[in-house]
Amino acid sequence: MTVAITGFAVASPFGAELEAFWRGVCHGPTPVSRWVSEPRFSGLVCQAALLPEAASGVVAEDRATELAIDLARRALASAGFAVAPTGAGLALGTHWGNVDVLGMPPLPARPPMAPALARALTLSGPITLAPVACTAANHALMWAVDRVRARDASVMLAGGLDVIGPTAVGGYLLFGNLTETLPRPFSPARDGFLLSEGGALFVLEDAARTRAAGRRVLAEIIGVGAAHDGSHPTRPAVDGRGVRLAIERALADAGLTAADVGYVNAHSPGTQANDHAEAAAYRAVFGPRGVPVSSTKGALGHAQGGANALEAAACLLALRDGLLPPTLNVDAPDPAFAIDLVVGTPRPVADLRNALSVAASIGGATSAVILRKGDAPW
Amino acid sequence: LVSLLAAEATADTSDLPSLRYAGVAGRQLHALAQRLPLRGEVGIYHALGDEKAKLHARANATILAGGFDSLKPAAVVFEHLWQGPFAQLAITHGLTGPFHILEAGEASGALALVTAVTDLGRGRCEQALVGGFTVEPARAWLMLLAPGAVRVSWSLAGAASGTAPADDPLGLAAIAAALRAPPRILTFGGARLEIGT
Repeated sequence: MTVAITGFAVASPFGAELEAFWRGVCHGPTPVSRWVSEPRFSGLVCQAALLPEAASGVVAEDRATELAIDLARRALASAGFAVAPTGAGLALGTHWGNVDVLGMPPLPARPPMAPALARALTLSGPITLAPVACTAANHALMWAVDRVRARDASVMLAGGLDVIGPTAVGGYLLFGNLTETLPRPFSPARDGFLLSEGGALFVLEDAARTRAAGRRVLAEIIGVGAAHDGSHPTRPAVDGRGVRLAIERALADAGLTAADVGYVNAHSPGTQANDHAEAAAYRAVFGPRGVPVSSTKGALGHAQGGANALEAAACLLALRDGLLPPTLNVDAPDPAFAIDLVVGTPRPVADLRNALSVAASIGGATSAVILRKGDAPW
Repeated sequence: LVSLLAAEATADTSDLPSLRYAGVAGRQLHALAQRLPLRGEVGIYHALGDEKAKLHARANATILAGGFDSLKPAAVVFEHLWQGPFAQLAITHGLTGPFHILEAGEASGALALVTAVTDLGRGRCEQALVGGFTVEPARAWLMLLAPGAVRVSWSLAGAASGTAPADDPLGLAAIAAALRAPPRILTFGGARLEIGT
């Protein structure tokens, strides 16, 4: 059984409207502003790409839960559902969820997100969060795909999100991973990632049943793969084996070969160590310059648990338009990487059929999701 | 269809040596894994339960006491983040199979089992480590599964149905017992497991 995406919604630093999101991903400019913590942690300041409401200073107390509810309602509406159908489930990839608050104990009590979302959205199907750091949304998509394949649920909401909080900022400052200029994935001039926030949710259903009902299939998820690189808590294996294994498993799951993939949306946030390992994985699977690659984190920054969801949305729009988004802020890749990096302007491609979205996380988990172009114009 | 190769759990460790509980859990899990016959491609399925907020509260206390500068990057992952203990397990033992974390309250153990069974059935790994840990009390559970003859199916039983015992809040000890002596029906946090032959 293949799994259809029948609707989706995004929340990005370029806004919540799909075409504005796609224009921003393809043409920028990268929306950079400043994140500043409360006074007690006045040292916590960083360059960031914020959701428009955060950039305007209007934020809710529990932004993560509010964002999840808003995304879910818009995604369901996009698929033609006024409310969640009976038996609908949710797989939400979010690393921090609603816990990233610092302060004197006792900290504000935060109710567990999963049951709160189930109540707010009247969901009666399988529900889990997948807090697997920077690969959270891909892991949630994988789990949801398996639930639809196994007929555990007829409809699954899946994707991910995160909002910026003080522990995340402090942690990344400690790692020395944040750029003070612009994110430049795979560039020789890369100096770290731009922290950002947001995410996307997708409505997943059985593709055959969706078509039989005369409903539109925006795209299909035809293969998923997960791995761990078993290497180091903060540095990827230099041979890129974590990413390579995840891609090989996704290809096997889809019954494809590397030659069937027309575009790779890379994980690359623009850090030194990641990009070496990730490029090694692409060379191993596709050969030198064997497939067009871009990192939309150049435009969107790194939305943590929401990053892969935004990247899957970019893949969907790339498949729709036959247009590969460029890696913004980069003139050319580091020549040592030997990858076909899409830079400058969007690259038109004829007959783009399959796109691969890749993720890797701090701690070593990796993932890959393969999306196939839908069969209906939209 | 799976078989339980082994299951291990630590005793309650009530006096924690530090605020950095995730590091303690990682060492507990490593000690448990050393007793297990790991072979081939091994997947990891971590039942997180409701422990994320508790770990974050401990990280908060550490940061308040010493600031971010008192931390070291690798220690942040291993000692304060919820993926740390099982990442430590994967790194220590060189495990490169699928790596999943399920955060679903009392249903986390059941969903971790279901995810592992799915991956074993699809050939995504040869063995599956299903486990979890709790902060208070400080305990860790780990079981090793492989393809076998015990059938595991699951369904939803309503959000309010089924409460895990206080000394087994992730349901992992009960799941291991059921896998050893099927058939059993277990219900945790709305997830109903049928474990039979």
